[in-house]
Amino acid sequence: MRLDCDILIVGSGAAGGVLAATLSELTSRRIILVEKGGHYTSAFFNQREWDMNVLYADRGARSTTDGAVPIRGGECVGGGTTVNYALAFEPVAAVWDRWKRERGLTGFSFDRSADDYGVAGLNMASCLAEVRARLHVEEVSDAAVNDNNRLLERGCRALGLSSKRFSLNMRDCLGCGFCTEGCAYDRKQGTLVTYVPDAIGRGVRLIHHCDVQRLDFERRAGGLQAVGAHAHVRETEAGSQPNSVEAGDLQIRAQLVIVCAGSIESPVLLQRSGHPDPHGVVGRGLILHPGLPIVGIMDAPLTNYRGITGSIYSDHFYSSHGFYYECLFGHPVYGSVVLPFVGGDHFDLMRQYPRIAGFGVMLVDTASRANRVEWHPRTGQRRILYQLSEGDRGRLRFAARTGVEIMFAAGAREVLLPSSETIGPLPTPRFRRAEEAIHCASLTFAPHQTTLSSSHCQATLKMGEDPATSVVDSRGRSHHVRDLVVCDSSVFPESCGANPMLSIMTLARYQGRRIAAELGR
Amino acid sequence: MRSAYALLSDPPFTGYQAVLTGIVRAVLPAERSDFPVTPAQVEARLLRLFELERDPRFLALQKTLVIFEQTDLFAELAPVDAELTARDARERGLDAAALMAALRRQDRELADAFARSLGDGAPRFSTLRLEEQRAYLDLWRRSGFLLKQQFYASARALVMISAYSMEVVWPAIGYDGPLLPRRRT
Repeated sequence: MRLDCDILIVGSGAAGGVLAATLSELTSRRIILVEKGGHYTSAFFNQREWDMNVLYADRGARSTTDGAVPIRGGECVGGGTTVNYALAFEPVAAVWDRWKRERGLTGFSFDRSADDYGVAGLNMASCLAEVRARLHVEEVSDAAVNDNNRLLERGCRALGLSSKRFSLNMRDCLGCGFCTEGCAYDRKQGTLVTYVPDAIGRGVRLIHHCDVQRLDFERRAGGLQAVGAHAHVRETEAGSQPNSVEAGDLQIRAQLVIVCAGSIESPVLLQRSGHPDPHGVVGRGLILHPGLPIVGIMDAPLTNYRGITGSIYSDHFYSSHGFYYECLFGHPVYGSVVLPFVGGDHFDLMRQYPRIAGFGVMLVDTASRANRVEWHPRTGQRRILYQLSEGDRGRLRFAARTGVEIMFAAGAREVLLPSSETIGPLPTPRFRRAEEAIHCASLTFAPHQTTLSSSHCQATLKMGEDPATSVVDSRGRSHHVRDLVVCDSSVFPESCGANPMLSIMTLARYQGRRIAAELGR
Repeated sequence: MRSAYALLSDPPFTGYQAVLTGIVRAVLPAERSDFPVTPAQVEARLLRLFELERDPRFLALQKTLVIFEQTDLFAELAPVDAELTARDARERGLDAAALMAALRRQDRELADAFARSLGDGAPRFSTLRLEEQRAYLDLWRRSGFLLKQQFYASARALVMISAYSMEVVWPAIGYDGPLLPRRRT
């Protein structure tokens, strides 16, 4: 089957959903939005972790190639915004300003009066305000903070550390605790219930279950030009909304191709399509925001997975050490994989479930060329290779130590890290007293000995004005292929400095408005 | 010979079933009467959730299960993933040859210590006692080779996911679960 359009958007998550809605709002172009995953809605979401793995990349089993770091990512209509905790951190202006200085980026003004690229009112501040309004971003009320979050707040206060309440993209949350299984009540305002329906209502054609095999590049006027894609549409799985095309091979011709497949799949798609890479930068410098859970065993049962899962965080150490403490909690399937040990030792931990408190360190990791996503033409396999740098390990040790101290200050009887490392006199990081937290200085975070996890991949197709160090320019345009734009977390030159959803959506709104202005109606 | 065959071909289910049974027992609290399901029930669920025989993504896992059975081959398996490990070491500016030698030495030490603990016992995983099976599984976690670690993590996760997605297990850990019925529409 062959389809023609003006704009092809690959991926319907935080970036693709916003772009489809913005471009259909501001232009009359024919737009096709393709999504690898299915189109599942609230009537399908049943709050079972295992049943809902259809919403995740690799059915929730995606990880670094050594299996050491699980990398969760939404793969369904709405992408990560369908399965995340609705944490709406604003873009960190200081980070974007640094990128502008260091990488020569143009635009991205945070001044509300700026007209970037000569487009009236185009700036990051106005785009953020538009996104916040559409997503209904609001700070959690104090009354909605559950026991587990209250413990992080209490522990921070006892140690003289600041803590804050999250803002969420939520409308009247019921507090069921199943954000990561898709919101069964349509209270979470991801692109699934906001921008994607907006786009469809304006005539955008959504094709889900669509594997884009390669982007099509043609040599024209001495250079490569993107002209569409070859894809395969799978049979629609049970529970999904019906598709707009039959299953089978699909060729889509387009004037402009926008890749929004996220920081793992976007570089793989470019590599698979033969995108030039003369400086070896495609897929390089992967950022994961490694997360380290701090687990407390309390004396009495508490509300942990019920209520709003994440309402309290601390950015006390963000400026000095580059990490956050964020309160979150998992259900038993994920929890059983994250908690250490096997056999009776593991089961004894799982039996503590109602008395477990948990928050996590989210480390803003530093980019290294060797951390990368690569695709092997011979085997057709994708590899995700990642190791913490020594500097990042040092910051994570400090974060672990202070995290353990916070948990004790919150009243924990016992604190443990998901780790089987021997540290100092402790056979494993299982602490009976706050004074023992000092032994975190011996943690190595070796793979499969200490569990780290990730949900925030970034920076694999970096933007910059120098083709030797970047894949796309400030407009997201490929340095090597005309009419090819990348717009998702992969274009961040490094960590965006916070949970990335709002940064990605603001970027997408910004690029969408700019593209619309440059295309004309 | 048996392992060489496993590397080349798609092993039959009977070629790895006993190993899988052993791994399920080693990961679960098989010796505990307060765990609400039996290893056999978890294994049956695992085979329902993960179609090892039908899904080609599990072919490498099947082959590794066959090799896993030969506990005395643990230290000899480095070449299976040597290329990937060495290439990644070079990417990070490390001396790949020295690193590989150190990793092999570490695997050899782990294997020797394990063999000493067995005494004259048979080196087949499926015939070991439960604690010996756990100790052998742990060698794969402690190895420095990426694909051995990956096997450990995958095998452990398959068992954990199979067990803790069983609703009958939830009361034993005090998890009161979803608010919605399983079928909603």
